[in-house]
Amino acid sequence: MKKDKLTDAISSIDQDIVENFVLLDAKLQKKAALRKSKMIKILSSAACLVLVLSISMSLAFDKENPITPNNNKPSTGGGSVPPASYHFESEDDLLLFLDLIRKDPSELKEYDLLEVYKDSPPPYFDISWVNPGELFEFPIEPHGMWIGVTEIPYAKEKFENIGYFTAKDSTSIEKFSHRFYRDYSGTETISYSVITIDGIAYCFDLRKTDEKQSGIKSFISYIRQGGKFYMKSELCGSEIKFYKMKNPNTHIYLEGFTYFEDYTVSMRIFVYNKEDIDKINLEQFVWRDYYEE
Amino acid sequence: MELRKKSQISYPISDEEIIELYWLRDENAIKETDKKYRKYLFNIAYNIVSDRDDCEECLNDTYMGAWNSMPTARPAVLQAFLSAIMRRSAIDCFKKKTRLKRGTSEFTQSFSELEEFIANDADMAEEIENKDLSKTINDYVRSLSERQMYIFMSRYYFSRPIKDIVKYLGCSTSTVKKEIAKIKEGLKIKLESEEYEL
Repeated sequence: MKKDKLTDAISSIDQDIVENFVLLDAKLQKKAALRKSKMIKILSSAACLVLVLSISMSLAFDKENPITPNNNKPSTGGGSVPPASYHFESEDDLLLFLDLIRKDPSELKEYDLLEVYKDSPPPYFDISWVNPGELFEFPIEPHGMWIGVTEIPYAKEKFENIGYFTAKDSTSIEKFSHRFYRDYSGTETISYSVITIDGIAYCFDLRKTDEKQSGIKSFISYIRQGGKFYMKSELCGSEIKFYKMKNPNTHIYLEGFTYFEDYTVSMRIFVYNKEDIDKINLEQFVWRDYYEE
Repeated sequence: MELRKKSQISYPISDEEIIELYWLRDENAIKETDKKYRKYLFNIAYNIVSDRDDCEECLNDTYMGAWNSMPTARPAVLQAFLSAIMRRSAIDCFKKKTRLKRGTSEFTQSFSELEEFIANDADMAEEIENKDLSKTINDYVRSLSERQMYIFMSRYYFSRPIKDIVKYLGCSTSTVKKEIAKIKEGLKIKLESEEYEL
């Protein structure tokens, strides 16, 4: 009887309290998923990094096979090549991660990996990394090779949303990473998309997209139009500048597409070298849901 | 995993759109609700009834409850609205089940934690009936910090396992247990101050 009374009393908790709880719960569950996702990615990337570093070191000693973007073999598909994923944006990040593992692996489980990046100054905005002001024209070619896919979970906090691409096939790309920033300062949203290929960063600037604070309806697409590529925010329709790529030998095609599950955005990237055009294997392309368990 | 084309992705529609479907008496409302909230609602039921078949039954009851309530209801937070229906439905199901045979679940576990400091004498039930225990608990929950409110609601309203609370808060089990102890102590003081005999 007394249990029933207690159950009834708790059951009759006001609806606004339940609503507050549900909203907070959604936020915390996303954060938890983000922590888990980051952990998986970092752990897998650490393994890949070690592998790639050891391969790179052995090749570096072979003068007849210097590592350059253009002499890499084209993709053969089938997943025989180990995936390269670089999620550490600086040596410090990597060292911090390794240090944590060494000290106490169990502590790592509770470590909010976002903190690694939160306050680090973004080196990607160094002017030497981009050629601002030039509209980039991509050559229109109908095919290429999918190399990556990512999920870009982001929070509303300043510079806290970071996405990474995991390269499915690394034969033509030595290093590949991606960061996506949003800065909700006042009513203006400033977004940056930075892609690093073979150590060269390509920065796409999505400033002044006029997005409202809700953030949920952000829709950024990379489009192809009249022989040119543009980045576009569907919400405000403003055209975004592409900066010129520094490496003329690598062509990248970006087809963004967003996936609105609250603050989750997903984006596809399409990268190819001219040599790889006939080596398309879409099977290599893997879509991963951020919330997939 | 297979490649999914953009056209193959089905996006969950917004809560407002789902509510609109209910108001239009469009059966897609239930389909969309299921698509978006099935997992969440299922978890609520599972923590209470601990049986997958019963959870399915509760899900159907919840969808039916939502269908019968909208219109006229237009919930501000659909997820909370559905959660409340699901919780009621799961508790009813659990009570029905325990009348037939004793069952245990996270629900019984979480309430047994609170029972520890509820009166030992049989008169307590009567006394509780005479007082507005609901109001006292509502006031108490409102007085909690956001984090404590989250823990209280997780544990005692939704009967969530402690390990889930730990996971979502990103802290240790001992931290959550300490918080729970504090919350219980606070509730005890509150009940005493309202002159419940403990």
